[in-house]
Amino acid sequence: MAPPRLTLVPSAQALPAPDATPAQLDSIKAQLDLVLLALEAIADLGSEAMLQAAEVLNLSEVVSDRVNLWRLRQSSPLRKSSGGRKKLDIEEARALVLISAHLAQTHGAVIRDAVSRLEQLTTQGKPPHGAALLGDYLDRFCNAYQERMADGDLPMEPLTHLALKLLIDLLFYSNPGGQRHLWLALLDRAQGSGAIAESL
Amino acid sequence: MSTVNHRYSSKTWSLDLSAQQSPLSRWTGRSALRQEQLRLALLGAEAGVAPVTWLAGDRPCFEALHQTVERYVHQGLSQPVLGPQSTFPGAISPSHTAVSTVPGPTLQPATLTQSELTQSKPNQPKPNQSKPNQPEPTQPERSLFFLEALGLLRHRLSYYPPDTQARQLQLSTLQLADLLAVLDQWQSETVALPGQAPAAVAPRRPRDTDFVVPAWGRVAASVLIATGAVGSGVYVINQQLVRSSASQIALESPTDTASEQADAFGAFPRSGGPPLTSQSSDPNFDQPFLPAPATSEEPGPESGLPPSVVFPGGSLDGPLPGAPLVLGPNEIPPNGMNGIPGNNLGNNSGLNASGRLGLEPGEGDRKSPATGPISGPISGQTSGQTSGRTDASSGATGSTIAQANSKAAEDQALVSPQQAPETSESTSTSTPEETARAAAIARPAPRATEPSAAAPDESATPQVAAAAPPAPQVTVAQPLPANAQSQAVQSYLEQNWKPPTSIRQPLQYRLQVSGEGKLTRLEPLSPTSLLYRKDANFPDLGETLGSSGGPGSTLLVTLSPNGTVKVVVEQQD
Repeated sequence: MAPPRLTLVPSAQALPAPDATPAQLDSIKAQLDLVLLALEAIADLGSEAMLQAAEVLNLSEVVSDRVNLWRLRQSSPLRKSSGGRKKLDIEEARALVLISAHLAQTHGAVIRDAVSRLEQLTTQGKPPHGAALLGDYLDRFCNAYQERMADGDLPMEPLTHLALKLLIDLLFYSNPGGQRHLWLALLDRAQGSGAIAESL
Repeated sequence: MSTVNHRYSSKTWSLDLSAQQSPLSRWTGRSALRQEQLRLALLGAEAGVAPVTWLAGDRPCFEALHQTVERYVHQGLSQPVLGPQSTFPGAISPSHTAVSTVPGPTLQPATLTQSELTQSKPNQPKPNQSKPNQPEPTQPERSLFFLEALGLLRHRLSYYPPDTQARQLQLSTLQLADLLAVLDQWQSETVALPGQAPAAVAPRRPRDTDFVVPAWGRVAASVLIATGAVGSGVYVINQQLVRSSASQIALESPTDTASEQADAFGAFPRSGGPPLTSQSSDPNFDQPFLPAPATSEEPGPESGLPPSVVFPGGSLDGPLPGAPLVLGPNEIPPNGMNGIPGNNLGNNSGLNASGRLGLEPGEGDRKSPATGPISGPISGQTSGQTSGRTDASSGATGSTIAQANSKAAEDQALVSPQQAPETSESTSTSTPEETARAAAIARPAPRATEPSAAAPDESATPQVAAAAPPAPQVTVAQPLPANAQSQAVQSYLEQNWKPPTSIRQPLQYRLQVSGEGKLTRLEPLSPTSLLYRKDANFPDLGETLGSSGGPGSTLLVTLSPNGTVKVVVEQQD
């Protein structure tokens, strides 16, 4: 009973694009960058994988090359940035959302495995580093965060918690329709989290 | 239309669909379906283990489930990941036995304001985990389903069907994600054709701009309904008891105007003096709280009673420890006097200084809540009160006033013997004012006239529940001596019962504790008790609550708004 599908590739147009204030855009940029950071860490991805995803999703015009991708991500207000692009418009944000969700779905198995191990260790009262998959993820995430972000001296405990929270979020983004969940989460956070911009 | 069957599955769930597919599917891009029947099953962790069906129903039911799950997940995803507002998995309690000890997105079955959500969680964790951005309940109306966090990685899904017992299921985060996935998939691939009932969501909470049925409208509706519902047979049977206490009944003051009385849902005049029942002890209200049946039946003229469910508090035959009573549609209580829910007249409750039995005004459904337990002594009553329409503080006893919940109210409008004759004998000795008042008292909720649109009866919004007349308290006429189980339960609840500020009436539950001290059954005995069940902080079923080695016990637990806990042994194995 498979219904006819009009498109096989999720469209950025399917993500509603409300008018976002600069503060809300800042929040979206920050959150997106963190999601991509988490994806890099859990699946050991690089920019090449993101560009490939953009190509699959017909988003090469928005995310054309590595430099362009770097500039889009560098627009995050959390980044150490001494210059470069500061803006990210809604279309670019939607493109990054689609790319993130696509990567999460592509690597859904490892995300799922990581969450499963996290559940087991948490139930047993053991630290998450006890599983190699989680330990590697946390190491990569923390290193990348400290290297790239302005508040790189964030203590390990909140950094670890941040990484695990993002890992759990990735689980939901890896579902079919995850792009919609990610987009709505970004908008909800942006609407409610002027505190994020203030805390930056 | 052709019948289609489809299965949507994820790693841990399968959703089976059977429906009639419309040819319109060709144009909608999705399967256009009618008469969908769905079945949700939890897949076993091991291969070869048969899936366990957890839920079966139609589209509205599953739409409600999808909405609940989706909103819950979105609330979790919307939590900020940075800053003090973050939800840290490290703060998860190592023990998942406590209820809601860790913050997380929650969706109450009824509407709670932000402050009530915060206040209703007495076990707020952890110093490093503040929740200034506590997610607001996104469902302003009631829901069949309720999701709450037991940590960042554990979740509890509760299902409150209107006609059967509630069900709960603990989910891991993986299972939650998989559940959302199958529901998303189903929703994205199908569309319901018009003709199916809308999602089983309670009517939205009225707002200021909404048209509110005026009090006179409710009076008129209640008069019509009560007149048709109450037969003379009840009057005949109860006439004896009524007359026996006639001297004790204070008719309303001659100065009361008909309009006041017609408008006065609350006051049921009484004189001071001995109770109306000949029984000296409190009736034994052993009828558990039952959700309203799907349909209400017109009672025969000889029954004089509305449909079958007896609201807790309706001891129909004197103290009957341990024996539940359910009336058939044409049955009448043998002792109709005690058919008054919450009619603890044995202890003079409900009789105020002037002998008036103050009851909740009908407008109290949506107005300021009544205060005091329904069976407690009326306080603050003065002889100056008239029709009692504003006497919300009366601590209504006696006849049940229709609750805010439509279905529950429909069934809870058990006409008291005093009311029944007064309603039915409009042509006899009672004055028109008495008739109107009694009828008003006996009337169901305004929404009871729309049973088809009624949502599940449990859990009104807290504001509405708080505004609703207090439910009659269940009491045990012949309580057994305290035993180890009851003492252990008492001790546990005294430590864990933190009454939310929104509570205005006691919560009552019937617990069954096994000989091993494990909680085997937890039964809310009123809509408010069901609503605040989570706040009562009972442990989960199967967990050890009492002490082991003794006989199993059935306990009646009363949690008061002032924090007191009372545990009575109803039955012992």
